[in-house]
Amino acid sequence: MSDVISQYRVKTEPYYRMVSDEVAVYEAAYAARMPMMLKGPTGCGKTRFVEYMAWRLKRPLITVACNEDMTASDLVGRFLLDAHGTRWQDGPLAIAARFGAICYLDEVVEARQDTTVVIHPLTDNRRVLPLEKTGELVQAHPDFHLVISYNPGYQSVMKDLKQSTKQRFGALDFAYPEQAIEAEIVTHETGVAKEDAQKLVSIAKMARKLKGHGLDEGISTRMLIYAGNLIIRGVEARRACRVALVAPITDDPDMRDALDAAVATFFGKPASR
Amino acid sequence: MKSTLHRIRRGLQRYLGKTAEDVPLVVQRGDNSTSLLEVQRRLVIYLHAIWARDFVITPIDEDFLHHGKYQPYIENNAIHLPGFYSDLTRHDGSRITGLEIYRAAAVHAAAHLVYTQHPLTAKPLEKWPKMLISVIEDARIEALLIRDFPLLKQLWCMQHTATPMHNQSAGDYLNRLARALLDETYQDEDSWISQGRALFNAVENIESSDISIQIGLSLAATFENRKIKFNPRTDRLTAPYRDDNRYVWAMATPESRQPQELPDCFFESKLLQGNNELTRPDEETKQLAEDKTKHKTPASDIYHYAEWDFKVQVETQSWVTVREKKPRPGALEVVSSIVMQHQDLLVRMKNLLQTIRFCGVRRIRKLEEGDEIDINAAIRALIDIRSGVQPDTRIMMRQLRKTRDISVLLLLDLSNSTNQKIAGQAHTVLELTRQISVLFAEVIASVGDPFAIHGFCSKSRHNVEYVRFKDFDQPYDDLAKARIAGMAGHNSTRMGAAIRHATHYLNAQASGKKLLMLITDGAPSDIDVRGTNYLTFDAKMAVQDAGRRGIHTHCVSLDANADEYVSRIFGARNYMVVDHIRCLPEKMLMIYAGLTV
Repeated sequence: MSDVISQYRVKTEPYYRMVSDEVAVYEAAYAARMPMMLKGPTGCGKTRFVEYMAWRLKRPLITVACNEDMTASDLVGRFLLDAHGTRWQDGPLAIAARFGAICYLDEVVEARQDTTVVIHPLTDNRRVLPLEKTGELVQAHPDFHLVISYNPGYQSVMKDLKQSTKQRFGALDFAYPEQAIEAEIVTHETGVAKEDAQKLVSIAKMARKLKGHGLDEGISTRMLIYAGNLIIRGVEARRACRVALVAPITDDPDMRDALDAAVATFFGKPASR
Repeated sequence: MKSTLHRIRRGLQRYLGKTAEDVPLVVQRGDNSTSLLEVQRRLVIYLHAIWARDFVITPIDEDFLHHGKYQPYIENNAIHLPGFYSDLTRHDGSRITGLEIYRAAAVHAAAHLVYTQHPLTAKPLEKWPKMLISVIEDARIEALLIRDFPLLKQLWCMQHTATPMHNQSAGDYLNRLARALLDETYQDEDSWISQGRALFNAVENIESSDISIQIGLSLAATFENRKIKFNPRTDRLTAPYRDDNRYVWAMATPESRQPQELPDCFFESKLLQGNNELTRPDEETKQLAEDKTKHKTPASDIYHYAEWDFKVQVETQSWVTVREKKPRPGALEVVSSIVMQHQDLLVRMKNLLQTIRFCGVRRIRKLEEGDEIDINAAIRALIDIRSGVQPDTRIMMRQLRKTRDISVLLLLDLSNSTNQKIAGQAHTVLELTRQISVLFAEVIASVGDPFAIHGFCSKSRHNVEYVRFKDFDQPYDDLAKARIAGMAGHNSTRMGAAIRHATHYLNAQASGKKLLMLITDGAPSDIDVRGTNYLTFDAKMAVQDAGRRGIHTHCVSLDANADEYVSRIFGARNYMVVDHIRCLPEKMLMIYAGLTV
């Protein structure tokens, strides 16, 4: 059975650049087995942080990307039919609870509200997971830890977590790192020259000022890394920015032009128009 | 007599002659010219990306151009740019597009607004030192910005064309100096220019504008030896993006900066400060009587509502009087032209609504636990079992009854401030409000949900005017359209009372869900209240009351700086600030969809 869990172990150290005291806080929360909620805009390093913490704490990590079609049995488990009858298959949450892994529910607001309720008994002092269909009550392993990520104000006006869910978690706020740190991250992840990384970060800084003024989200660190990856593979910098930074986030022609101008402010004007 | 006529004729000749000769090609409309209207929004977004704040960009009046005033300028904190910039070809054959000149001009002017914090000097100065100080100040703000955005230098540099060959007039030297301070690759051996360069480069802290004065004055002193006369009319900066620097000097005399064109809200707030409630009622009743005789629109029932006083935390009963007025119809063509103009938007909105309009019974298939067996899935699963492969266990389904049961009330703020133009746009707030109402009505009417469009304005607590353009039970016909076309903006914004009155109408609706959507351009205010806190808290209370009665409230704010008070009134998630009409209908529909699905 240990095979099941060994595949979830984080074997090599993921790169994570500490921004503030988040590692210490997380370690304390883990020691108290307090469920955590990671808040922040998309692509700012939430998932990477969890991977890093799983490695640091030497716990297996089970990640579930939530979507709106996800049902409670996708988390808890279900009976499968095979040629000879039925067989119970644990879901990711049940596996994590049994073997003491860190269970990370990514973008949990995307899941239907009735789905998120199944995590409730695991997140208070009971720390149990009732498997309704088998009649089993799984006592969570002492090492089990639940982490969710949550992007406030994400897209729809209507999607939000229930208060009863929110209040079961401690929350760490993530934001895009400071300019110097972000440049360091981009350099490390892509290998681009430091100056280029700084330019990319400056472009992102400009774009982030437009959030709510025509852009739904600013340019994330992840997008910068994409752009850096293109640049290091020989794509011309302005083209890489167009492909990785500007074109994905907006379709508004005026906004594109303004962002292109922001790119030109750092990488120069295109040779031909 | 004869001599006077002669003088007038000469003046006229000079005037007419000037139009053709003095307006440089770069700001004339031509085949390859870029119009400000096309690029205005791009410039505003670009500036916002640099400084995270909004700047107002407006075209220079055509008449000004004919008077030879084609340089950009800053007045009332608005950046005035020529209506057109033509592409330029430099000596080396490279092209500068109109958009680039616009961008250079906008960034330069915005840098003045940001970095020239206080007037350069109040001392009266001669024109030549003043001109020199302006040039240094230009260089200073550009250097400040280049520090953060190095490549902006390129954008500016390519528009400077002065060379050491230009050595005739004071203007030539001025342009060479401007270029030398900006572009260190520019070669100029002239002693005076080198002196300027050395002085400017020696400065360690360029944050303060004092250095502009020091350097400017010492350069002016050295230049006197050259015995070249300065002619303010002809000796100007030739780089097309540079503004005329009236801003840096105009700041010196604060009185002169309260000019004719201040926004209306300025006068409103002046009124607010100057008037005390105690002195008002007489005047008000007099005016009320006047209004009545003037408009002859019969006021209908009178409603009284409580208002919340945040200082004492008590609701004052029957404090506000809401009077309903009959709306005056306007021209129907207004509505039809809006529909014509925004046909593409309408189609998009209708498409969007189509996707969310499904109603009636819907089957949700592929469920593990449902109300009944989905026979197709069950057979498929059995076949799978017989053939020895893994079957899909999700063979149940559930029937979901979806009904669209929603009433929407669009509440429009029709205060005087709606007559102002929106920053960076050619239309007024009222026009935008009208457009939104028409588009919204067209789309919702096509779905058939009950909706109403009401508006309000106020003149003290005794007289909150409420206008019903379209009621829930009234069809969206020519009468309703004519009323929407005829909406007008005057007086102030007493939001709380209007929300309470709208709540009263929504309560009478039988729908399961009720949505009150408020479109406003400013914080609540009224002539008998000082500050905005009182009315903001009252509006917040009104919103909470509505919420308790099951009415969702949502605010569409057209004021870019509204974040704080709007979120305080409506809650952090129940508002949006809209900067452009194009994205507004879709966003509004998203709220609508969120409530209906």
